[in-house]
Amino acid sequence: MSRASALLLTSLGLLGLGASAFAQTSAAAAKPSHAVKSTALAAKSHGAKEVDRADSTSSISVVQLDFEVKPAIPGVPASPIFAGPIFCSPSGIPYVDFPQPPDYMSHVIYSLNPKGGHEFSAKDVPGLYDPSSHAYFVSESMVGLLVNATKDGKKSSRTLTLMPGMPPRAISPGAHHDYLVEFDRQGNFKKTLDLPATYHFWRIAELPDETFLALAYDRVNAVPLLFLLNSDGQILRTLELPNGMTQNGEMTQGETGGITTQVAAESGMSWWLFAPARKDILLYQARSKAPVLEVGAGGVVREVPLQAPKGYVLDDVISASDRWIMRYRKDSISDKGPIDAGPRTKNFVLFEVNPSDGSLRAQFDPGKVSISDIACEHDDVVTAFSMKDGKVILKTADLPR
Amino acid sequence: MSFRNVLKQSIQVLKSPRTILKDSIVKWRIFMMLQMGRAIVVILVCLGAQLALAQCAGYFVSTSVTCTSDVCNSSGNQITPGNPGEYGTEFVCSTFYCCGVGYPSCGSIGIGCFGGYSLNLGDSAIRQRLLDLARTQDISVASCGGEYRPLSVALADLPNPIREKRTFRSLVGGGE
Repeated sequence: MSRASALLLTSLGLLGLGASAFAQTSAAAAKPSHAVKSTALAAKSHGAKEVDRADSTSSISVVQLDFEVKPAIPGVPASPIFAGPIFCSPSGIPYVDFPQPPDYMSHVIYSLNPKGGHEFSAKDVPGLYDPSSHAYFVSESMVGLLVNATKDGKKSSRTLTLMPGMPPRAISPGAHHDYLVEFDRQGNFKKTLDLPATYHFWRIAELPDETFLALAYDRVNAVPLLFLLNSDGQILRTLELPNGMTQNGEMTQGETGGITTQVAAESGMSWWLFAPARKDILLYQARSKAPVLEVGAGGVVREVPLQAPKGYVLDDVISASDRWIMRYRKDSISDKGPIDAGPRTKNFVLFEVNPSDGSLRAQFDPGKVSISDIACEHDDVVTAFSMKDGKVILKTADLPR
Repeated sequence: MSFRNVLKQSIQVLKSPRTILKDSIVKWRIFMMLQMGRAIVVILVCLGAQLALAQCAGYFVSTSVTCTSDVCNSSGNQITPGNPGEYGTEFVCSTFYCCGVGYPSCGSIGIGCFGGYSLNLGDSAIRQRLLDLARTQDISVASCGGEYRPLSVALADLPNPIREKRTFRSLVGGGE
């Protein structure tokens, strides 16, 4: 991410704060747990969209999460800033993207392993120059970074100051493409896969059968594409995307409009995200009410319309071993301003969703823990993280069945 | 106050009282807004220097992928911002979180002459947008060889009908 651009837009984000009210009313039914506090979520009409099937939900239990603070993680430098979303390993270890000071352009992924964290970065990958990592995943066998870079080591003859206060740097003018850079779980570089240069890749994840699921944009035809790739990174076949994702105004305009609308359409794919859940990969469109697509081994897909609390849209899918846990954000929140993720604001809410039909199953109340700090669920334990005394600490809470 | 110092404060607040935390965040916000005002958007226009001389004289040539002749021949008269999207300001978006607050953050993928979009400098809408951006920011363009010059100069060097030197020079204050 461009330093200047990132800071520019981050600054824009500081200019305002969207806010609206969330109607959470009466009390009701219980969940069988020592830490369960039950209330009911009022269900009111919210139009006729399929995602508003919450209207027919009379009450949803609220589960209080009691977090226990764990010792600080060695080997991980504390940083107050991290980038979402967070991914977790299949064993429940959070891997968090910490943009690096002073300009926060470069990103380093740290594993928050209680036994000691490890670092994953594209900056020292052999044979790649001007690397820029814009997505990552964690699987049983590897940590993968999606990296845009060039294999041409030639540098420009002059340097350029990209923003005030930053040192000038030389650019790498060589042809840039997307690569999958593989690391082992200790942060050791394994290999680099060349991804098809025809497309611009936005997301990639490994499926249980060691093939890859990849989301890309075809700039020639101005359409998003979902690929199944083999272990060498080559395309096996194309998977069908849900109409609810592709048939939105911005994306369709990109197909027929000029270059500027196409750029805007592709930029919208920033919010098309992957998340591991129940050993499969979920493709979802954050900030929307589009259905989610569950993709399993062999590229088997299942489209599930997703219910949302009234006044909220999907924001993030929490990495989970055997549940669907979704974070929603208020629909009225501006895309431009900062958002207080604190529990009191209810700007974000956390729900367990029924994987079979996308209905809301239970709401999780994290207490004083910011919902943005919740990383994953594994074997009925929710893990969050935060900074304390200059160190990264984990917090865990049991989930009732 | 340097950016580094501001961030140091942001880090220090983690172990400081709540009042200091609030103060630091306010200062950080003010600083970031100042940075925004001063920020320079650099548009890296990939100019296939040799090709431009040989085949597309006077044109800025898209070299978005390879700086090769086929790109030159097929598109001609193109520019490619190193940071695609809104001419380098907005393409890949995510959310940064700091102290329990989420900040939308958009930027580009890397810096340089790489797989971005080819933007036709002769397109009046794009040209106008560049000029709009140039009202508040210095915009530089660069060749694939790393030769930078102000947007005004780059545009003025284009062959007719793109001749708006007076306008460009009045709007753009130099660049890197």
